[in-house]
Amino acid sequence: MKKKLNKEFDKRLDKRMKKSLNKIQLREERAGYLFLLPSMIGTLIFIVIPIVMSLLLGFTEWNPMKGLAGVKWVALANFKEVISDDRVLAAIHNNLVYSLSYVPLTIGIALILAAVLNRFVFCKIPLRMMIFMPYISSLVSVATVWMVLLYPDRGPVNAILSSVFHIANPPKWFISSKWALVGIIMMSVWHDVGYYVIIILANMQGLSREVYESAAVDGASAVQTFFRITVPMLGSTIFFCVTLATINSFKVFDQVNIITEGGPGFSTTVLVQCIYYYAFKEYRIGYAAAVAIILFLIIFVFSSILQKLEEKLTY
Amino acid sequence: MKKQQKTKKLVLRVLVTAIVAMFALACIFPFLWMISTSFKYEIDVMEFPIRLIPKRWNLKNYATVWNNSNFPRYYLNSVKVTLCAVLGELCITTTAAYAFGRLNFRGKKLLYTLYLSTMMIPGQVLLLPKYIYFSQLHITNTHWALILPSFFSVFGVLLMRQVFAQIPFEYTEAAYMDGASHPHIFLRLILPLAKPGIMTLLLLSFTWSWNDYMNPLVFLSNETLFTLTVGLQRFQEDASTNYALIMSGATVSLIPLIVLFLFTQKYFIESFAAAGVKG
Repeated sequence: MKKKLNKEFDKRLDKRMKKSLNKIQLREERAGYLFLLPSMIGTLIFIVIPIVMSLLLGFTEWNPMKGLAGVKWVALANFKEVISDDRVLAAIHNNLVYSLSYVPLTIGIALILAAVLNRFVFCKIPLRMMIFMPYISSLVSVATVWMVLLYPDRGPVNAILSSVFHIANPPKWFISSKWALVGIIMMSVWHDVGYYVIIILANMQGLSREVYESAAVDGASAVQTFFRITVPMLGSTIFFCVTLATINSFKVFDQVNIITEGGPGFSTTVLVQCIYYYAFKEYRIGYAAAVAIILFLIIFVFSSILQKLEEKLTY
Repeated sequence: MKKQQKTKKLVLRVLVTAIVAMFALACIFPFLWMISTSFKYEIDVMEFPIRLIPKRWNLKNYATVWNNSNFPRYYLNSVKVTLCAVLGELCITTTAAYAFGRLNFRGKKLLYTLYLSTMMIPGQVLLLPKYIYFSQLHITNTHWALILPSFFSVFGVLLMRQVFAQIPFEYTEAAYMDGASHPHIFLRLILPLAKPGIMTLLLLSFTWSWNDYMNPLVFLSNETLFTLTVGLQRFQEDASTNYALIMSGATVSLIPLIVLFLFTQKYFIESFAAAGVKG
């Protein structure tokens, strides 16, 4: 009798618990949607719809001066034009040259600096700060400074090159079609290297000291330790940095637009600058969108290759 | 033997420090040169050997920048845009992150995947549709065109979600069982516990918003609305070859962030190291 009563009581308690649990769940669900709502509406309007729109725009021809009525579907005509467009082809070429030199240089220098800063250096914190400082400075301001530093006639860099290193014909930098891209790459490496130093450094501090100590006991040299221990142990960090640097390198724009505006000729023009030029100088929004789609595809291909490579190498 | 090794190691460390210090000096040389040039007379700018401490001091450049150009206006605009953008972003990303990091609801996984996948698309691809939108809404050539989109930073949501998810659930469970509402838990428990994470988001979005060049370039054509980045470009075009003046402008535009950085460099560096990806 008593047992039965107890059971009955348990059942009722269970029911009440379930009911209140359900109530809690419901409340949580409602709160979830409400908390997400503002961000969701904004993301839809400012990100999701624009993504779809820009996919569609690539297949149209549209001059915004004519209003929304001027949109014309042209199917693949934009992409056909791209294949023979010297500006875009030069941009793709420059983007590839830029990325293939910027990424190895930046990550290579960052890796060496981080390794050295981590184990061999006094005054690590002020040095790290000095190396990181360019990264937080606006590209517009520092590009302006570099433009004057690399001024071909009497600029400080060329003055040093010709009088200290006795180089007879120092490069004409930003006014020469041969050297302008080199100057832009140098400036970009200088600006970004500190960022990768701090990412790598943060991950290095997680590596165990014991491995280094036992390597030292076994008589490994610093160079050996770097290539045999540091680099392999940081595998995924390095891949992360390479991927990030590659993606960002294809989006290069600020310094190019400030220093050379793509010139001389097409020698420093890049894809984002093409998008900007076609959309806002020639008012060909549809064609610019087609170039943007190509930019996205290139980034997508490169990051997929890097991902495949990482899976192969690190597992 | 051991002592010899120790001194060898010390010499090596001093040597390496010297090399890295030279590199670090090269890193800040453009800044030093910029500041020094900003105090020079134009004819002394290209002198050789390079003098970092000017032979004759010229304070007129700064007076010109401040009084005879639109720089004060650019400053105000930058401050206004950055403050509004950062505050709005904080409100909207943290609430969304609370939903993703602390609450369960149907469709959460799907929505989260959607958020993640938008990170794949480079921001420049969105520029053209945004331009069309904003012209239809008649907000091109207003600061809204810069402020509004930055509220909805997917990167911010992902970053804050991670921060919130790391806070142990025991901390909020008791309050929850006592019947505290979600807004209450969010405002009174989660936000105070997530202060370091919020600091990270604050510094990152402040830096990105302050340094943004492409959006003001595309959306603003009225010079009185210019922010510092596009303003400096205009100033530089106007000053043409007056390099001392241009360097004063560059210095003025860089100073706020550099000063902020010098005083909070530890947080800055930790924030950038923790965040990793830029959206």
